[in-house]
Formats: sequence, C-alpha cells, structure tokens
Amino acid sequence: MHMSDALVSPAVAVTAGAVAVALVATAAVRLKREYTPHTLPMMGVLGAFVFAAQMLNFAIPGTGSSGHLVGGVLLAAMLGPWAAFLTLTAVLTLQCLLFADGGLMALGCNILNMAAVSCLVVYPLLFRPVAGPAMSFGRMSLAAVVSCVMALLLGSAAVTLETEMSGVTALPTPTFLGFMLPIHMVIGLVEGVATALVLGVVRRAEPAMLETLSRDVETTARPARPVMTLAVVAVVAVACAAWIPTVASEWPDGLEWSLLRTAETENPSAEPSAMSAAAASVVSATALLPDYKGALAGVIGALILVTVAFVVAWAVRSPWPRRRKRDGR
Amino acid sequence: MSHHFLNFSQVSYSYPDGMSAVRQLSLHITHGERVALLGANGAGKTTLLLLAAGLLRPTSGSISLGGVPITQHTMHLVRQNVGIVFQNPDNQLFMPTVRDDVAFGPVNMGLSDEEVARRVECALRRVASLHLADRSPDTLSAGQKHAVAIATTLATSPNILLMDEPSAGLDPRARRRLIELVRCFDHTCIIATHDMEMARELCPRAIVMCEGSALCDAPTDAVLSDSALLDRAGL
Amino acid sequence: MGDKLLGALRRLSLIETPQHSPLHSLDGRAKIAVTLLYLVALLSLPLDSLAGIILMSLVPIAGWAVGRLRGRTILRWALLSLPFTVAVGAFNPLLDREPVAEVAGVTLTHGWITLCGLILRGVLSVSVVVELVLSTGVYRLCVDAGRLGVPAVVVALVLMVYRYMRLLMGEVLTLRMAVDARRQRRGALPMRVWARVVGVLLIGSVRRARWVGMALEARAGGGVPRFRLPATKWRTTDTLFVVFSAVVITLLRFVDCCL
Repeated sequence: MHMSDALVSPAVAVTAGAVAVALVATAAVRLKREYTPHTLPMMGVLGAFVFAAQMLNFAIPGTGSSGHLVGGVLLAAMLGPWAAFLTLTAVLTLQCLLFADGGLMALGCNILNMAAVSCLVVYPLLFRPVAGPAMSFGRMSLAAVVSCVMALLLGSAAVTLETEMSGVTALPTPTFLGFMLPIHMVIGLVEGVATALVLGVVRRAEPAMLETLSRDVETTARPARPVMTLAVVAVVAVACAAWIPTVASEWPDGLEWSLLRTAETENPSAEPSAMSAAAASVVSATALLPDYKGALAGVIGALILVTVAFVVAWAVRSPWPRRRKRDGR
Repeated sequence: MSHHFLNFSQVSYSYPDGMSAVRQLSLHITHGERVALLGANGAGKTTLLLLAAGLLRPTSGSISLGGVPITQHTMHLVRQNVGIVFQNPDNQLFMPTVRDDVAFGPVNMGLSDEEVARRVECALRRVASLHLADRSPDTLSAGQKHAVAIATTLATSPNILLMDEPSAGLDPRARRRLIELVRCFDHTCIIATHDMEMARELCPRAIVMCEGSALCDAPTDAVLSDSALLDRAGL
Repeated sequence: MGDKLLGALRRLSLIETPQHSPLHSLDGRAKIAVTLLYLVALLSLPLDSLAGIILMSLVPIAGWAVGRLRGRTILRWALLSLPFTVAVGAFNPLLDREPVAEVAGVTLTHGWITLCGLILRGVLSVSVVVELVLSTGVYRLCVDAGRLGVPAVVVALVLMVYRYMRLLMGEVLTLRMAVDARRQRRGALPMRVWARVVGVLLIGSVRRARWVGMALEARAGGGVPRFRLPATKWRTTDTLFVVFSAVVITLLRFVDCCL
C-alpha cells in the first residue's frame, strides 16, 4: 500500500505532508509530557522489530501465497497510539530511504494512510473498545481482526482518493475503490489473524508488555467511546454496501463510455448521449491534445539529447573504485 | 579521599513477577577497592550491580553512596559517581556512531562542546579505540563493542565502576587487553564474572553469591581455594 | 524467504560502504533541497508531456556521473519499486483510448502515453532518492534533516531504528535457520509457527529495549535526554550547487512549454 512518487501530484503531496508534519509535532509534544527513559528505546527497538518481522513470511492457508505483517495495530497495542504513530513514521521513512518502498514526496501520504489511520484512528476507536480493559483472548483476537480490516479499508480508500486527486489514472473513483477495497479487506483479514496470533503469544507470556494491560486506571487518557466506534463502523459498512452495486453497474458504463467515444470520432453525426457529452467535456478539460506531430518530434528530440548526455556522462565518470576491505575485522 | 564508599544495608529486591533476586544483602566497599562478584547464573550478581547503579530501587533495606542514601532525589549523585558496563554491549551502544555513544554521557551532564570532545577522545584513547570513532556500533566485532562500551562509561568520569561479565565472549587477546585496562584503573571496581583467572589477577577481594545472598566475603585467593564453598555456590 | 532477508542485509551494507566523489562531499542539506525541488518539478509535469519527463532524466544521469554511483544498482532499485504504480497505470491504456499519434502503422493512444509517463516518472523519482541516500549515507542524511528542522527526538528515533535494524534482522535469520533445521519444507512458515517466532522476537525486543532504557538512564538520568548531533559546515560549493541545480531544473521543467 506504499505510494510511490509517481502516483502523487505536488499539491496532494504537500497537503498530506503538512498534515503529517502537524501530527508528528503533536506526537512529539505529547510524548515529551509522558516521557520515561524507556520511551525512546522502546520505540526504537520495536521499530527495528517491525523491519525484522516483515522479513518473515507466513503461508496463507488455502492459497498458495504468503504474506507478512505490516504491524500498525500490533505496535499500537504494545506502545499506545502516539508512540506507535511516531515509530511507524520512522519505519516508513527508513523504508522510503533504504528500500524505495514509498516515495519521498509521497511520504506524507504514506504516513497518513498507514501510520495515522492504524495508530491514531483505528486503534483508539476500534481496538480498545472491542478488546475491553481486561483484554481476554477472545475479545483481543476479535479486536485485532476488526482493527486490521478497518485500518486497511480506510488506508486503501485514502490511497485511492489521493491517487485520483493527483490525476494520474483514468480509472473512475468508484471503479478504483471497487478494486482496492475488497482486496484490502482480504489482506486486512489475514493481517488481523496474524496480529491476533502474535498478540496471543505475548499475552500468554508477558501480559504486562501490552499497553492496555499495563496502564494505570487513573492515568487513562480518555475513556473509550463506543458510540463513536459504532458510528465509524456503520458509515464504512454503508459506504461499502452502496459502492458494490454501483461498481457492478459502473464497470459496463466505463467500458460503454470509452466505446462511445471511439464511436463518436468515427461517426460525428451520431447523437451523443448525455453521458458521453459529459465525459467528452471532462476529457477535453483535463487532457492536453497537442498536435501529435509536434509532440512526437519533441519526444524524439528529448530521447536523442538524453542519449548523448548519457554517453558523455559514462565517459566522464571515473572508473568504479575498487572496494577496500574493511579494517579491524 | 575515602568518601566514595558503597554500602548495602539489609537490601532485598524482588522482581515485579515476584521472583526474589537479592535477599537481605549487606556489604561495604571502600574507595579504591577491586571486588570480584562470583556466583552461578541467577545468583543475583546482575541485580546487585543494577541496585548499586541506582537503576533498580530495593524493595527493602537501603543503599548509600559516600554516606548519602540513594533515593529519587539523590539519583543525580549516583549518576555522577557510578558507571555501569552491561553484559551485552549492544544494549549499551544505542547511538548511531561510536563517537555519539561515548559523547552521550558528557552531553547529558551539560558539558560544553569542547569538553565533550576532549572527554570522548580521552575515553576512546584509554580503550585503544579512537580509530573506531566514526563507525556504527553495528559494524564492530564483539571485542571492539566491549571496549567502546567501557569507553562510554569512562567518559562520565565515574568513581565507581560496575562491570557485568566483561570478559564473556572475548577472544584471548581482547581479554588480555581488558585485564590490562582494568589494572590501570584507579576507580573502585565491582566486577561480576565467571572468569576465575581474571578475578584472581585483578581483584584482591571476592564476594560469592548464591540465591540472592552473600555466602562469603573474603580475599580472592582464600575463596578460590575453598572447593567446598565453590561447590555450594554452584561454581 | 531467507532471500528477502539476505537481500535486505546486502542492500544495507551497500548503502554503508564508504565512497568518495564530488557528490559525496556536498552538504546533505543542499542535496536534500535539490532532491525535493527536482521532485516537485518532475511531478508537476503533466503525465503526457513525455518529452519533458524524458528531459528531466538529465538530472539523475548527472548525479550518477558526478557521484560515481553504480547505475545498475540505481536502476534495479527503481524498477523494483514499480509494481503498484504499473498496476494502477495499467488501466490507462484500457480506458483512455483517445488516439494521439500514428507511428509505423500503430495507433498510440493517450492512455499508453500516460502509462509511459507514469512509469518514467516512477523510475526517475526513485532514482534521485536512491542517489541522495547513496551519496550521503543514512547518518548524515538524518543529521542534516535535523538541521533543516526535523525535531531532534524524531531524528534520534529514526537513527535508533536504523541502529538496531540489522541486529534484529540477524536475530530473525538465526531464528529462521533454527526453525528451518527442523522442517522438511522450505519457504513461508505455517501461521502458528510464524506467530511463535515473531512473538519470541517481539518479547526479546521489548526486553532488549528495557536494557537499552537502563543504559540510557544510567548515562542521562530520568529526564528527556539531550542529543547533540555533529555540526555540518556549509561551504560556497554547496551554495553554488544549489543555485546551479535550481536553474537547471527550472529550465528543464519549462523548456517544453517554450518550444
């Protein structure tokens, strides 16, 4: 679900970035208030744990494929919402820099879609109320599954919206959502089961490591608000229910539309339907229709220039220096 | 000056899960002494060191440093005077470079940039690791990590040095270097170790622990030649 | 799946290999600024102005040359980041059938153009970030980001995650080998086994974190610790680099509008 830079426009990236920066600043301030010497190391080491855990794949039973943990809900269950949010932000930053998993401009979007959604929205509003203060195994597992599904649904919806707003895809939003949401619901289920299993192992061995069970009752920040949780769940459920029939009927419309457009250019006298007229106006407003001969010349010219530059660069570059052996080992 | 003495008075400590680690322990260590802490795994050596460093608070009894009891309010005194080197140097080297790790203590003492730089260089020189200053702790060998971990503590100029199994996992040369290094220290040293040879070489006094209490507190040679005692202690 | 782990470890050691070049000696802040400027310029180009996007590739090519970096590595990492982008963009040729040009009897549609633009954009945007990281190193990059305004606590956190990453990956490798030694089959683990391994790793990590916390407390006390990260000197070369790059990037961005 990491978004690469290719999928964002500067406007979307900067807006998301600004929101992400505000959240990070808030998290930093909150953590300073509740700081203990163990806060930072716990975040740092568990952040490293996320990387390590993602290297290990589990087999998804019944299919032939495998998956790995993303870890948002798991981290939040160990660290609490704000610390987990900062940790995941650090993880996402390093994933972007070290593994090109997500773009640098898109980092703001990725922080919102993955870290903020799972740690700041889903965990407090869904996981905590469902798991309850005592966190029995059953409720905890249910909470994990439900939270992961919701986190991935909301996150993938956010990815869709950001991609659409950046104008990089010809897919209409409902269709796009129609692809993303069901797929991520399944991924969320799998992740939820995986998270529940790991939480179970921790719960059995060292329950005090789970932040809900180690918090003092008096210092509980805000009581869980079941009403709000139910509202969020209801809204998303209704939205999904509404979209599926729309998607089912949109898909033929989408094809119809593009067929109609092609038909129109061949048959200008054919009476355009209201739908295709609207579509045509959208297309003409957003797409550039340059003189194709000029555009082609431009592309060829650019390719030639770049090839020349490449050859010059190759020649100018010194030979690749031999790697010196590391000393002291 | 003999005011840097460490005193344990009927100290007990139990872990949160109920496991008792130290039972009614009393001891007195004077300035400049080098004491070996012997005992089987689980005897309470590490817990004792953590208590002496003020990182754990005793469930009963009291610990005092130079006559001043260690409480929440006197913790800063402990930090200035006591340095601890953990068994696993990876847990002690948490900064991105060796230099940053060694500088961490002095920086948090509020020292100026020049003083910090001077202490870093001095500490790394003492453990012969100045050439590693810009390396990531990730990339060091076990012996190098141990040396740098000691440097991180030396940089704060403690009077009392606590070391938990410092020679564990070291190759013979690194071990020799460690012994020579500790021999040059004029700090008070408490060294928890399984390395009897090193204990005999470095520490005139040994405390044998068993199941949380001190079995014996005597000159090292006497302790090491008492096989019945060693047997009882599980060594 | 051990390959995933080994591949990651290999990539990490590649990033840490010390190298020297004119690009490496530039201040990290300058490089960060230029990278961000380039990305904004690149991403503001419409997807179908292929000429413009192709021209923008001159910047990563220059970086590759001046930084004496390994082109194959950059390209490989850039291509590996593409799958989701391509999946999204693959619908463009299907849905956007408006013809744009005819080349050698084949009709190119707008959809294909935008897909090409998308892929090219993906490759270029990843390339500059890879070049930034390879020519600066993670440590310098984080410290310089801190000098540009990122809070010290966040910088310290990122660096701490980076510090313990390889150690914990090593632990996973060991656990993995222990499990594999007792299994007949290779590949992904059954979920129950996987959960136990990850659970053990998690509990071990929390325990380690407690030790690190004690180490931190022993040297910094109970309050918020101070992190004094090394200073970087800004030189005239850095100013020249930023100005020159800004001019070039602006020219490249707007040249196809002028033509």
